[in-house]
Amino acid sequence: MVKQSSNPIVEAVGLTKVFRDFWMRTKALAVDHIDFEINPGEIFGLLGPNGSGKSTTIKMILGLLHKTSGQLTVFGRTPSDVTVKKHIGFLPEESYLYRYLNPQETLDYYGRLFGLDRATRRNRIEELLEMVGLSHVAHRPIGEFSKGMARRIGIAQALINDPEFLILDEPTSGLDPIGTKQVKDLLLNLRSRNKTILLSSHLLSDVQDVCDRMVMLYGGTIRAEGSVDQLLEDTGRTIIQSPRLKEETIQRVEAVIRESEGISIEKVSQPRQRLEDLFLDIVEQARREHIETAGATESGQTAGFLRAQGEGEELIESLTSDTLDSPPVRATEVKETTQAEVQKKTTDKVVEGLTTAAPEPESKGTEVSRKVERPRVDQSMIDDLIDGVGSSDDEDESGE
Amino acid sequence: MNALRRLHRVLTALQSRLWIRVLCSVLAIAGTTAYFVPLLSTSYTYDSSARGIVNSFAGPEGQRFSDTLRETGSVKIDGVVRTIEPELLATLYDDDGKLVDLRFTIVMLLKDTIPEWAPIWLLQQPTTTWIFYVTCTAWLLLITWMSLLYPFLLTCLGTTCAVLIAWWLGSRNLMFAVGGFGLLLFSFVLLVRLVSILISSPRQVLAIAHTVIKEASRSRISLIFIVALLALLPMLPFWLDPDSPLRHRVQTFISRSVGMTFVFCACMTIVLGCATVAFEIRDRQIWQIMCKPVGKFRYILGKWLGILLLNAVVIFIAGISTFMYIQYLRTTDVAEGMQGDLDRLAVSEEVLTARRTDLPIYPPIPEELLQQYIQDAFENDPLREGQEEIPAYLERRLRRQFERDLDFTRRMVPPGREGEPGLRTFEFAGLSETVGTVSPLTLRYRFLIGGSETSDVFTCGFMFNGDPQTMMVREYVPTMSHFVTFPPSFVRPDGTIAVTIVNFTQMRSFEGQAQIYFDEEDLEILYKVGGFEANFLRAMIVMLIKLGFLAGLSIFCATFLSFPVACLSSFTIFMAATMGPYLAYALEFYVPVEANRVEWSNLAQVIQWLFESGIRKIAQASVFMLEAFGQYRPTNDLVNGLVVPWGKVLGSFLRLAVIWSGLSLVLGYVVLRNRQLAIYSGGQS
Repeated sequence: MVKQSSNPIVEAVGLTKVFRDFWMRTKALAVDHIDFEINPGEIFGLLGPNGSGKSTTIKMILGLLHKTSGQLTVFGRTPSDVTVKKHIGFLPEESYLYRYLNPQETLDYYGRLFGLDRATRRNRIEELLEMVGLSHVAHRPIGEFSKGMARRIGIAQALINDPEFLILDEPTSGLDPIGTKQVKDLLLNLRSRNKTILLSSHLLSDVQDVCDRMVMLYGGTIRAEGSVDQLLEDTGRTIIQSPRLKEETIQRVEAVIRESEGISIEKVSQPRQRLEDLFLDIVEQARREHIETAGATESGQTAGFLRAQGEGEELIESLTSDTLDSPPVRATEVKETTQAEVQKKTTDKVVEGLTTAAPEPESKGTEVSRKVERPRVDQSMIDDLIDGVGSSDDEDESGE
Repeated sequence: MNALRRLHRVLTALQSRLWIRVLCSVLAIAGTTAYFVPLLSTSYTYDSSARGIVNSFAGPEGQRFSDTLRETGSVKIDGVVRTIEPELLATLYDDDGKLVDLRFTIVMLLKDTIPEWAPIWLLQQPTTTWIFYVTCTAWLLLITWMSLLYPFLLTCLGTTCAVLIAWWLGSRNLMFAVGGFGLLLFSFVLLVRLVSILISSPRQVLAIAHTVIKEASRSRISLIFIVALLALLPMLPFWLDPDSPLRHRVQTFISRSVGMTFVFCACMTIVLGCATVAFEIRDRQIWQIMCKPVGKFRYILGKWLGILLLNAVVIFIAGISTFMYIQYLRTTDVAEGMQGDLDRLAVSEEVLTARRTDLPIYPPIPEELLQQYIQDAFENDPLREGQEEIPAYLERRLRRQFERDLDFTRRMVPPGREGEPGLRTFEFAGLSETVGTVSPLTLRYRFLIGGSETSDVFTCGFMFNGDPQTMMVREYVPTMSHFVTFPPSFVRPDGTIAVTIVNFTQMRSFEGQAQIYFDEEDLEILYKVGGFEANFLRAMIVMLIKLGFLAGLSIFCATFLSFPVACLSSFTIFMAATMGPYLAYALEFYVPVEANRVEWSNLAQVIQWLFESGIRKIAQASVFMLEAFGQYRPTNDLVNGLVVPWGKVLGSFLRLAVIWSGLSLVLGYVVLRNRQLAIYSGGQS
């Protein structure tokens, strides 16, 4: 998935940022000699607790802070170079928008700052507002918006220039599950168009779901770095996931495993529907019933200008289904066949598959899917990192 | 409620329909044309008749026309018989049977030709009529094509209701104020919309400027000044004293309306300039902008341009309303008879005009005389005993003192002696523009006379070019300005004129007692060089340029100071700049003890010297940098009917707009360039 290139989008060598007070005494060493590079076409994650230097690094990339030492290039130029910013989209940790402008005017303003002509602006604004589900409040001042709605506008403004390099600082902060899912879909869609994304987040599952590579920061230094596969791979465990099995079937499966591998099943559990899925279903139902809301409405598909040429929802669906922890079968899907039929077919197939070592099944639901779950290999370190997240305050630069 | 909403939606949609727009445009053009075209026709007829009268009376047979009119009360010009009422006829001629004022004669001769439905102020000025015609038509077309027809009708409805309530309450003033406020507020909305359309190109500077205008028109912080100004302007006429002469009413109105417009705009500019940058930095919207391909100078320039455009809109509206009310005011009631007519004439000839001033020319002071005086003063100073060389600062001071003293003696007119009046002649030059014109020249004088009481009345005379036939005797009250008009024919072909002041007051116990003297600018000749309209426009431009400097200044302050501190700093500089000329004058008298005369062993004296020297240096720096701002005072010029020349406009543009505003913006850019817009406040390091 990651497209390596000889010219990284961002290259940091020995990057250091020291904040000093009025008397030039060191107030904080926010970033301490870090080296990393972000390659074209990859989604790069920045992980770390508050004060670890994530936002400082992002702001140096954007030219909002000056580095103290080291080297930092963006598209091969210094971050302060204005021409570089033509290709960058940025979503800050909070949506710093003008309260007196409405979404349409906000996007138009930022579009003009990128020099987009009127027709392009009009089309993109329409598509982006549709995408973030705010078309119906396009003429309402942002000052009246909830945090989540403002966040959606923030996302839209970051995409107005169809950026080559998108920097997202806590993109799902303040978003409801629908918005969160949409952001993930969007990121995957952008990656399919060979866009480069820098994602900074506290929500580890977000990062895990979409990132190709990541660094983990603590105290301004890099504590771990690598691809998601490298960091999370655990070859010592196998999970078999299937629709509900009868007890006797499980026993037969265990017998087969014991016979073949000489080990027994550690745990058998009945999966529950995920709360996210339940939530999405309820909202979907409400929308079908046309219940009015003053908030964000049904989000449209990813804006046309952001989608890959010739690709549609199928692509997004296929990309999302490739994620590492695909959700289990939904209740609504199971209803399509009778419970007994499913039970029978499944049981037979599972046993058949296990005994005949059939190739990996392609579809989920009625067939057994075999996946390798990757529990966090360095769970203790991540726990340490998360310990710093307890505060509700966002990020390190959160006030003057 | 739903029905109202539906109606609102329908009407909003309807105003954008092409056929509605076309229909309304046709109606607008037809309506304005129906009123203004006959008015223009009458206006040109009036103008043509006036020219005919000028040609007749100022031509070779002028004396014959004058005599005929004086003897018969009527005169035939271009085949038309013009008559004047007998009681007015006598006032047109002086004792020698000469016409006192040709322009006044024209007004009297054409008095009966003016239709009742036509405002005289428009008839007399075809160009102004054209301006009104075009402005009204453009205003209506803009409303139609900018989708503001429905809001316009709503405004009209709301305003009419408010006016009716005021009418029911019996307050004519309130009716006028409410109607005027509605009109001005809607004009503001219209012009803001127009400016927004004009700057809607995708250029970054214009985009930023556009957003500043939106911010200003939607934020209380700036809107409060705009609304207050637009509400107060229509109320200004009520604070005029209806019993005072028209000339004073017009001058007071100009002074208050233009002055108030400038003060409100200046306050708005400073507050908005500081807020738009300081709040963006504080609330971090600037991050979003600086992450876009926007140069920091463009950002600053966009902010400046936005504030400037907003000021242009406000000044335009305030200017148009002031101008229109002045035109109305000049036609309002005056005292009956000749006094009233002269009052009205004074308004058009001395206030609503553009006159240039000419001061007397004095021969240069010989350098030898100056040097001799300096040497004598130095040698006779007991404090300088033993010193051989005159310090440079002392030489400068003595030179200024001598020049002042000499100028003062040159501006004295000796008293009469033994029954003969005292005389002194003053030469004026540079009046070539008046040769061959018909507008009379005005000699303004404000005399002081030794040993007088402020209530005393004295007699003086004015003789032109030494010709006793031109003698005009006038009574004057010391310390008050008086005017005497004389025809342009008195000016020599080379543009010079000699004015002899005749002092009829006889010397009593000592010479200084009855001696006339006056300040440097209290004897001047004023002559018309242009119309009020163009002068008013130039004054507004100078005002806008001054506001441009304030915008640059406040933006610069806000790049490194918080909002309240930036506001305070900007207001302080604004006040210092406004008072620059006064400060410069005061500095002439504020001179600390010289360093070589300080007793360094006396700590109190040293501290006093240091304090005074520091204050003087700060004041000097302030004067050096900001005096230009205070020197450009278009309101004073407008009130006195003085021309605001294009040279002055250009000078203010170069000094205030190019140099000072440019410098402020460049400094703001340098600050932003070196400033880190994100600041650390992390919890751990």
